[in-house]
Amino acid sequence: MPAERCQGVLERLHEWTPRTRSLFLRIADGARMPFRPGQFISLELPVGERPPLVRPYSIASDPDDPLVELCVDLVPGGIGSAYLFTLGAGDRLPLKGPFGSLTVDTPPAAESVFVAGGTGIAPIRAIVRRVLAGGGDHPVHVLHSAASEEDLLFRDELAALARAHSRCAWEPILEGAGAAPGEHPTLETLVPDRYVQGDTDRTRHFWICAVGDVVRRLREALRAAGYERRAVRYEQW
Amino acid sequence: MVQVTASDTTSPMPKIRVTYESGEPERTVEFSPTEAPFSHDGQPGSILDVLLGHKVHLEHACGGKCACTTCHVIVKEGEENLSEMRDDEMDRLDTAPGLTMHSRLGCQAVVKGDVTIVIPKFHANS
Repeated sequence: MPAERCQGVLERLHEWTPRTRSLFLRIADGARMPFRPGQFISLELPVGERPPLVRPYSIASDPDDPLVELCVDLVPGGIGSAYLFTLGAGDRLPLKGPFGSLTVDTPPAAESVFVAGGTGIAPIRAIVRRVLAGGGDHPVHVLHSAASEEDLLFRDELAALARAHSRCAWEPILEGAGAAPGEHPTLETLVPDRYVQGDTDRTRHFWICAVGDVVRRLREALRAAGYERRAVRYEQW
Repeated sequence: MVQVTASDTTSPMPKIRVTYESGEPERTVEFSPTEAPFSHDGQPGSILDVLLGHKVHLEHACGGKCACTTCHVIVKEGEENLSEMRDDEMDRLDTAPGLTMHSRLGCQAVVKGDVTIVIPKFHANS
């Protein structure tokens, strides 16, 4: 599928917290942008010293959903996200896409472990929905860390999916301020504890998406422990 | 024995010669690495950062975060004058269309001396 350049029209937004919102875009003028669950699009924002400022956002929605959902964090000092937070219904956004290889074409014949930090849950949510809809009986485990309960995007939906599918588990991890260091597990302690030291099974497949170096460190820990390189997929924002 | 260190192969004002598979006229950019970053995107001093900062367009759909391959370039000369490739870049390049033994991602390859690159004609959605 070639990348397409088109216009997105902001149809509505959902405020998860004062710093995080979902933007729901309709692709304008009847254009289509076929994508695979987990891919991202590139927004071309009219800001910065040399506009456009190109900023990628993972698609949280399914290709069959009528609108394209993006989860946006207000980044301190970030001119791109600050601009996106000024937009309202009806505003247009030039975009290109889809891009990215954090996807799933055929669910693996093994346990799937999804590891998301903050808004890194956006592509994971799309992939998990697709994996569960595809049937099968291999376990699907979703680990989502966030600063607070409110920052656990899609928490009701993921909890409902876990209730509806006995092979699916959703495990929220709160890494917010207030907890003493070491008091609660974090992605960086839990993932190696459970999937490296915890047993010798190395057949699992991982999808990791988060902001910052934690992604690289988890990837290294898992691959060094013997998981197949291509079984550890990741996207670092 | 003469030991060759990195500084022996670097230049105070490296040049990036940009050629195009499409036949577009080539461009050359000369820059001072100490002034990096030149743009918002890519590793400071990378091919992408330098080119964008000098008004030479290079696709970068992910904003220079090593999450796609749209800044894929093929290095014709001066490969030794680029930073070493890390796992992130190798993982992404695995998915690049038209991958060659001399492929790099513009957003990750930091320029330390003169290089000549080719911008491939087509980019895919990866």
